[in-house]
Amino acid sequence: MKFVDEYRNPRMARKLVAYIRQRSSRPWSIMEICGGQTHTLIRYGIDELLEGAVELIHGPGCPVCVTPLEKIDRALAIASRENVIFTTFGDMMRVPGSRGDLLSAKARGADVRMVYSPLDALNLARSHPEKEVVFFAVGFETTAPANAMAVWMAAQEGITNFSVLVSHVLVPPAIRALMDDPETEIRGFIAPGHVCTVMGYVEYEALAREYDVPFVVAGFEPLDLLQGIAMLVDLLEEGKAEVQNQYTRSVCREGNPHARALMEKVFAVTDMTWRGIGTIPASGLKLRPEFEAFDAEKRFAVSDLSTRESPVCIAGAILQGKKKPPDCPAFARECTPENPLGAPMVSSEGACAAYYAFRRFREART
Amino acid sequence: MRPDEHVVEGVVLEVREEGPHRVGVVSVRGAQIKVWLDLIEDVAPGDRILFHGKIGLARLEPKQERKA
Repeated sequence: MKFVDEYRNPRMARKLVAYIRQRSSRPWSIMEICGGQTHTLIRYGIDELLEGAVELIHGPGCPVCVTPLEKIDRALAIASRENVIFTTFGDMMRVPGSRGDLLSAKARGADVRMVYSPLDALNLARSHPEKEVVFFAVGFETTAPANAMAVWMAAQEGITNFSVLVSHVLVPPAIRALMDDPETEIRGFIAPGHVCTVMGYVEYEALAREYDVPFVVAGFEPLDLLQGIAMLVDLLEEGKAEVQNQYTRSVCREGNPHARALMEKVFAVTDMTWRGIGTIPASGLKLRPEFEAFDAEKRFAVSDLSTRESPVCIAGAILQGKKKPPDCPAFARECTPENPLGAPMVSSEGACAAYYAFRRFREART
Repeated sequence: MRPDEHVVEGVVLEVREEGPHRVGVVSVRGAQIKVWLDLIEDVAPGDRILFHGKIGLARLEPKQERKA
């Protein structure tokens, strides 16, 4: 299959692994931001192949995992209303709130529906004018254009029974927060290929200069990541704090100007709370005042939200790259995909889910 | 295509105008999906694209520089 087979070639992978091992004069600690990249690294055992040459630190780039608990509890409260059809992508259905998840709300009778697109939710609003249709707009910069498009189309068509519960987060401020931690051991970053497809990598050039760390924008297949790591190791060995682009088949420096313009039209930057991490200034998106009529938080007043995290889950430390899933005493014991204590065990981009799917038996043996 | 698959790659089979929008039929592992193409320039049948939430984000294989 084009764009798949050529990026999973074992012979090329072995060559790249040998190159990285030979090129590294010391073990370099590098962070892959995106949860999709984490899954590839763990699934193909790339972290183990590079042991001793590169320490891979898993980053906070799982949008579902960092959605604040308060927002999930708010979603549960809105979804439980009589006249609401609550829509969401599949991986939000089982993310635990303080008292249950959207799937259990559905089991109790709430009209919660899984959709492939916010445009599907907009279609539901068109076909059910007697209902309020709410879409849970969660994600990084990759998901924002689709959500902006849905709000923009609703405004253009004068649809009044559609709204979005917005929980959008931005990657560069999270990198800044990680690098401002005096205890950070991160020496370089694999930047998220899909986010950069939309946003480009100009912002990362400023971060590279500010923190004196290199970035390589990489894709999601095994050879994408191995090549990205090889390029990053080259930069580290040469002492260069610059940005390079491995994912040239999708990413250009300026990103997608049409997508960025639409996001800019619909959303404004705001401070945002990240689950397990805390509030990061200017790290989220909210609807601009001219689109506030589509803001589910304003449309549905919800009071008395008192959040309660699992006392055992160490998702915060995992999302900041300070611990790995097997360090958690609940990993693969009390916490499993069937009974998750934290969001990283649920999401298709969560680090705990990746270790559970591809590594748990090996972890149990050691 | 799974509902939790965030960004999907596919081949454009057909492009057409639908009101003010440009939409396409995109083949993903045998399934045919309607994708809005307003945010990508110059898409034609046969192109490979990346999309999320049925919104096209990029046409693959642009000629780009490797180094910033």
